[in-house]
Amino acid sequence: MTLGSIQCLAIVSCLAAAFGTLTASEPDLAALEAKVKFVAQQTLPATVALLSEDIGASGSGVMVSADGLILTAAHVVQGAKEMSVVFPDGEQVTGKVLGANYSKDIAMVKAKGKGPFPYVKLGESKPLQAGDWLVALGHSTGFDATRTPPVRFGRVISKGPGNFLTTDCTLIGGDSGGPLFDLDGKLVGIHSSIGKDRENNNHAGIDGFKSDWNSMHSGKTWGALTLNPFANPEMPVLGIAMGMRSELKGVMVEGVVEGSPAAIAGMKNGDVIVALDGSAINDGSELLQLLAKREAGDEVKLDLLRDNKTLSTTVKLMRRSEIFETP
Amino acid sequence: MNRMMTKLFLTCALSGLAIAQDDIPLLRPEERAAVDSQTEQLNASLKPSLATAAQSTVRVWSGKRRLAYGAVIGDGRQILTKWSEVAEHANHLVVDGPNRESHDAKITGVHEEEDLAILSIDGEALKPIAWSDAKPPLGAFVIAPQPDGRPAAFGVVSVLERNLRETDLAFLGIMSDIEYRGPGVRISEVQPNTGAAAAGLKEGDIVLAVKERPISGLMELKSTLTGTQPGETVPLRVRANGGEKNLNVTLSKRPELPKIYNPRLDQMERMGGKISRVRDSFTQVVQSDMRPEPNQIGGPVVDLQGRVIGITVARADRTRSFIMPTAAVKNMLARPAKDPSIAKVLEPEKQVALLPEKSDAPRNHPMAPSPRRMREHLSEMERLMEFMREEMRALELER
Repeated sequence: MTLGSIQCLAIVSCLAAAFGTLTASEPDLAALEAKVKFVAQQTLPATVALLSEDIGASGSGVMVSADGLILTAAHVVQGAKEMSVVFPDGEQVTGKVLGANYSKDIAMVKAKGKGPFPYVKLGESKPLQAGDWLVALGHSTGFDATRTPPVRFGRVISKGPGNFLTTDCTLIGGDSGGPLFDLDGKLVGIHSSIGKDRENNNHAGIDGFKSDWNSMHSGKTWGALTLNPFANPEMPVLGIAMGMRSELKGVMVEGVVEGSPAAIAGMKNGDVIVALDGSAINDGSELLQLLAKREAGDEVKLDLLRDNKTLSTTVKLMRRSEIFETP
Repeated sequence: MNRMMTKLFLTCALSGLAIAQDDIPLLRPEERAAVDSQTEQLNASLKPSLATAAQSTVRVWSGKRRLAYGAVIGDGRQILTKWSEVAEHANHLVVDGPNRESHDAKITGVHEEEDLAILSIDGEALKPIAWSDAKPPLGAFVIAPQPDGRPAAFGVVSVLERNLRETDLAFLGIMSDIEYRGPGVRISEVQPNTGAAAAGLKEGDIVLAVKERPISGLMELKSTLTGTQPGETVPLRVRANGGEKNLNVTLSKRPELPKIYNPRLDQMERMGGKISRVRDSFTQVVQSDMRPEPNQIGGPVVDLQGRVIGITVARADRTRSFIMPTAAVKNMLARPAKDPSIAKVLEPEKQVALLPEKSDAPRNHPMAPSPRRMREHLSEMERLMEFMREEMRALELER
């Protein structure tokens, strides 16, 4: 009996694998739709509006524990100590603003009251790639008693800067702080900003919350809101001075900051960086763009030219604020 | 005045979503390629769902200018299309369908409130729509076909069917005291000639429950009233003069209130493409995140099974488009249409500018750091801060 069922499972998985290969070029829309419907239904009750009479703000947030922990965007809680937490059915409880990291535009709020509250599970944002399907919810233009928070469907368009990611799940004011889910209904991001293009909707990745979890939970607030990724204290850096542009393709190292990732990796003045994780680098701006898509703590492989020889080195990136004074 | 304040809260909130670069930051060529090929695959996979409905989808032209899409109805010689888009071109309308042959068309009837017109076409009859009463649930796929069978727009059901017209909503007639933090709603003002006044509610009374549902705050009060109709009588539990009592209040229609022009919301709504001229106050619509162009409005919408579940009636803004469900279309068609010679386009009322009007158009932030760009960036942030301060001042004035 036991053996039989194991075999059965094995056959099923073989079939699934074969089917998967056959249909790889054609997405299974019915299965995709079923997941989106499931995610919308599962996550809607935990998608809250956050209102503050004191600072006149209305944003969104999402419950991540039965005892009322809410994740949101830092700019939604800015200046508030308490906020009114409104569930999609209109029920209101008071929430206490805990902490925030403005550089990542992430924050925590704790709902008062016993609960248990509806909540969602955390997923992972780092492994997401361009084309991964996502579902976004949020109280667009503020809480509206005549409707539930609108559901939007889209995919990752671009990763970065840093912990942020860009999707085509369209957002508008009031959605800030609202949740972004993967197709299992796990929280992968929090809405942060939009650009003019409808594909330009930016979210803070959930993994950025995890590394700052205890600090925010204990009430710490730090960092600075910025729309310029290169001015962001969280921007990952090598710790080098970049040389002037030359006819050579690549970036010439003209200074290595003591104790920096470049120094630790043994990089020297005169080294020319020609590739990062296999992507060719033609000039300084290209290097900066590729770095901006990574995060502090990430390891990147650099291809260097030194004395007309090619060598590779692995560098563990640091936060800009760890190495350079903030301007 | 309380409602004003609520609106202003929203206004400030909308400053909340920061406006980033025009271009997608850090988009790599390989990411663009992955997304584009995925779009191509998706469009190809959607085609089977569109095949039938596309045969009943037409384009409406005035000369070389495409005005709207249309849905073939009746005996195949009537077209349902968006009134506000065709109204000014009544004498020059031409329709072409899946076979590309042109049909001269004239407007024979108008449903003003729904912003829909009925056209009659010359020539061979087209294939009328096979309507479906299926009601797709939240998150279900919705697709609008082009006449050639390719998708014009794809999205999901964002919000289930609702009435967007505020004056159809039930109205209690109280203003809430925002200083009061609940539970319940403390009344700061009772409006004369409303159900609340008739029931004897007074300033300072606290509404504890509506229809036996305990009320935590103003939002829960509003949500509870959302399920009711004007004219309905609802039981309230109220704390007044140190005691609690039950009373019944007959709800009225919400009065027309001045709309507050919010430049920042207006700007955000228009970010991401053109929007329809007439885009709200529909009485029966499903909201979706489909993004049809305004000149693609008026055609059928199908679900993944290819069933025609309604027609597009507006591209409302960056995040919303509205679908009029099949049942509502059928009900409308059963009512007499208005003579086009006297029908009007119900333009949205001129909005009252109570907030500072200021061009706050997003600027392109170059990506490479430089002192000049840093300064630009700082001044952008300062402008944002100034705008928020002005909004706060407006709020103080309202208080």
